[in-house]
Amino acid sequence: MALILNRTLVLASINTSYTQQLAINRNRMGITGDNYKHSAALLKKLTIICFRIAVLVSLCYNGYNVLVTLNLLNHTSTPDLAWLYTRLLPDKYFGYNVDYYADSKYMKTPSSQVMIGPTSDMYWPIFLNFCWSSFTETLIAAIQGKKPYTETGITIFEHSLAFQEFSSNGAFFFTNSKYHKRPTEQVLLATLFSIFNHLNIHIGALINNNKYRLIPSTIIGMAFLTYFISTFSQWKVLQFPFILILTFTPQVLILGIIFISFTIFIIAIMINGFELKGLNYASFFLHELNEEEDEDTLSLNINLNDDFYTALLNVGILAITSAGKSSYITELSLITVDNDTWIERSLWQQLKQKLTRNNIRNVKSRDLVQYLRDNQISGYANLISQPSSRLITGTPYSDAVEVNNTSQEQSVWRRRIEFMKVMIIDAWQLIYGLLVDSFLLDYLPGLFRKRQLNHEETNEEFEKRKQRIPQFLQKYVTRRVSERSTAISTDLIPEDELTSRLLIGDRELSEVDNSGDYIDEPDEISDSEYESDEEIEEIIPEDTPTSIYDLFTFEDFNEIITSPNTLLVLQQHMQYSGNGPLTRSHYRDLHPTTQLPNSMNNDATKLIELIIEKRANKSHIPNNELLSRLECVICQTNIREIITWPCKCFAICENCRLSLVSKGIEGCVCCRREVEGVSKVFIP
Amino acid sequence: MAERRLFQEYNRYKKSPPSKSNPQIISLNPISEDNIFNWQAIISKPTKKDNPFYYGGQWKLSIAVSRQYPLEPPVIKFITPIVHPNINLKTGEICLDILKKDAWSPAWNLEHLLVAILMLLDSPEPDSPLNIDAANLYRHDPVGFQSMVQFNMWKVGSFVDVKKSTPTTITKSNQVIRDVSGSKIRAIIA
Repeated sequence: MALILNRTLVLASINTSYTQQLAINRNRMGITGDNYKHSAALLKKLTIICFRIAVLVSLCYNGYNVLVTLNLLNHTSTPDLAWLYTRLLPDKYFGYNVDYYADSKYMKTPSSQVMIGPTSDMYWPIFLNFCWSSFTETLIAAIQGKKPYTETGITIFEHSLAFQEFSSNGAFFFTNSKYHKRPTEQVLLATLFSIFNHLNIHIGALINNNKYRLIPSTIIGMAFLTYFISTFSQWKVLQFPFILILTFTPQVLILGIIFISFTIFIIAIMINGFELKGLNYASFFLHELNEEEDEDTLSLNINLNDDFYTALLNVGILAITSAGKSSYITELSLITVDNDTWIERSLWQQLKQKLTRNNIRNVKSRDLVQYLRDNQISGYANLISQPSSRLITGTPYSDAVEVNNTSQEQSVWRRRIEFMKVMIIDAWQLIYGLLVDSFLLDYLPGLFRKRQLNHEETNEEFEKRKQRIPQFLQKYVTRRVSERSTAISTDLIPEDELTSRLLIGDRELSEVDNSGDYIDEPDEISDSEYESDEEIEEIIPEDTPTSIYDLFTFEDFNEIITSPNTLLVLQQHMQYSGNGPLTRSHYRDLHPTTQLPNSMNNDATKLIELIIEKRANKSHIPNNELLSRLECVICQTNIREIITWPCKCFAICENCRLSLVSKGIEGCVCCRREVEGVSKVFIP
Repeated sequence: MAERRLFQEYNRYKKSPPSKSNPQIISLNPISEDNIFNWQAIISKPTKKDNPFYYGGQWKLSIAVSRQYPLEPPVIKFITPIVHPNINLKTGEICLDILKKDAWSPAWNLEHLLVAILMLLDSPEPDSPLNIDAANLYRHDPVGFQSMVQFNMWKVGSFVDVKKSTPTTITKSNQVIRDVSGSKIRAIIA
C-alpha cells in the first residue's frame, strides 16, 4: 500500500510539469467562456478545500487519539516526558474512556487482554490517514499544476516500516491482530510530530499556500529532534523504530555540524569586533541584506516554503562542504588585526574625529599642536603616512586647505568655489602688485626723479637747496652726483693709482681696458729664487694654518706643475728672454696657433673637470663613511628613517622615535621646532 | 642603548679627539674603560684672548652619564673649584639650561656639552646665579671679579701651564696685588 502511494506521489511530482502545461492550456481555452471558467474555478477551489478539511479533520481525530494514548501511557507506565503529559494533557479532555472507545475498531481495549488502552492496532488508521493526506496533497497539486508538498521528515514508506516493526504480528489490512502489543511512547511521539507536519502542510495550503511553511515546520522539526537527542541518554533511542534511527541520526549529526559552524561564526564575529565585514561567511548575510526584495532566493539555498528537513539538509551540506574546504580554519584569516598600535596610528585621524563632531571643517595646525599639548602627547607619536602639502611647503600655521584631509569631505562644487577664490585672490594680488606697487609707486616717481637728476648739481645749486631744508636736517643732505659717472674710466687714472683703487674697491672700474700691454724693465729672475719660493710654500702651512693653506695646498701646486699645459707655460716663462716677464700678450705672440691654455673658455672647462674629479673622489668614499653620515643622531647606530614635520629634519630612526614618544619629548631634537607629526622615509 | 651610543662617541673621540677641533678642550674620555658611564674632561682657557676673566685656567669636570642617555642629559660637575656666577663653588654644580631635562636634546653629545660649558665661562648669566656673590661681583665690579677668579685659580693651582704662573715665579709686586685682591675676596667669601 505504502509502496503504491509512494509511487503515485513520485509519478505525480514527475508529471507536474505536464499537468502545469495542461492547466495553462485549460486557462487559455477558458478565456472565451468567462462565466464557465469562473464557476469551474470556484468549484475546483471548493472541492480542494473540502478535501483538505476532510483530511484535516481525520488528522485531528487521529492526533487526538495519539494524545489520549499518551495520556494513558502516562498513567500506566512512566514515560520520558511524563511531566509534559501531566501538564498538557488533563484527564478531563484526554482521559481514556474505556466505554467510549469500546465501539471503535482500533482504539478499543482488546477483550482478551488484561491491560487497558489501545493496542498497536491504532497505528493502522493513522497510517491510512497519512496515506490519504499524501494522496490528497498529491492529487490537489496535480490538479492545480503545482509541486506537491511532501512530508520529508518521515515518509509514508518509513512510517509503514516503523509501524510494522512495532505493531502486533499478523494484523493484516482491516483485521485485528490477536497478539497485542502496546503502542510505545517513542513511536507515538514520532507519529504525533508526523501528524503535526501533515496538519502544517494542509493548514498552510489553506491559509497562504504554504508560503511560510518553514517556520512552523522548523518548530516542529526542532522539537522532535530535541526529543530525539534527549533519548540518546540511557540508550532509549534504541526504542525508536530502526528505520527512524537510520533517518534521524544523520540529521542530528548535521544539526550538530551546523551548530558548531554557527558557534565558530559567532566567535569570529565577536573577535572581529561584532562586525560582519571581512568574514568569509558574511557574504551570505550581506548578500541577503543587499537583495531584500528578492525574498525567494536566499543565498543559503533555503526557501521559506521548504520544509524543515530539506532546509536542514541544505544548510548541512553548506556547512559540511565549507568544513571540507577548511574554511573555518581560515575564517579568521580575513580578520585583519591592526598592525599599528596607538602610537603608529596618525593622530590626525583621532583629532579629526574629535573636531568633526564640532563641525570644524579644516583641521588646522594650531589645533593639532594644541591637541597634542592638551593630551601631553609628543608629536613624535603622530605617524603621518601622507604628509599634507602644508607640511611639505612648510607654511607655518597657515589656514590653507588641507588637501589631504578635506578632499574627501568636500563636495566638488565647494572645492571649485575654493579654487576660484584662491585664483581671484591671486589675480587681484598680481594686478595690485603690477599696478600699484611697481607702476604707481616705483615707475612714476622714477620718471620724475630721472628728469630731475639728469644734470649734475653744482656746488651753488647744492648750497641753495640746503638752505631750503630745516636746519636739523641739513647735515644729512648730500650733493647729488650723476649716477653715470660712478664707473671710473681707467684711462683717466694713472696706472699706479689704478691698482690701489682696485684694491680699495670703492668704485667700479670701467670694463673697457685701453691700456697697452704691460712692459716691465728687464729683470732677471734666477732659478734659486723660484726654489726659495717653493720652499716658503712648503714651510708656511706647517707653522701657521692660515686660510691660504686651506685654499691652496702644496699638492695642488704640485698638480699645477705636473699638468702638461701649465708645465708648458712655466717652461716658456723660464726660458723667455724678451723684455721683462712673460705676459699673456707676449705668450700669444710667441704661440699664435696654440690656444692659450688658461684662457677664459679653458678655465671654465678646467673648473668643470676639477669639480667632476672632486665629486668622483667624493663618491669613492667607502660606504661606511657615507652611512655614518646617515646615522640616527640619537643612537648613532641605526640609519635615519624618520622625517619630522613641519621642520623636515631627517635625523632619527624608528626605535629612537619610539623612545622619544615614551619619554614624552616634545620638539624636534635638532631644531627644537614644534613637531606636528613624523613620517617614515625609506632609503632603498 | 646608552652604552652603545657612548661607545660610539668614545670611538669617535679616539679617532678625532675634541682637542683637535676645539683647543680649549684638553681631554674627554671615560675614567676607565670598564665603566663607560663615568667620564672625565679637562677644559681650559689658555690665553686672555679666550676669556678676559678665566684666562690661564684649566678645570677638571666629572661627567656622570645616566642609563637613559641620550634621552636624558648627563650630570656634569666641576671637580676643580671655580668662581663663576652660574657654578656652585663647593659642589661644582652647573646651572645651564641644556643640562636640564627640558632643554636637553638627544641630538647632542658630550662634546657639545663641553662647548656649551666653555661658552658659559665666556658669558656668565648673573641673573640666574648659583654663586650669588660671584654674580654680584661680576655685575658691579668686573675687574674685581677678574682678580677674584684669578686668585681662586691661583689658590687651587688650576693653571694651564703650571710653569708660567706657579706662585713661586710670581713677582713680588704681583704677589702684593694678588694678596690685596685676595683679602677682598676673602671678606666676600666670609
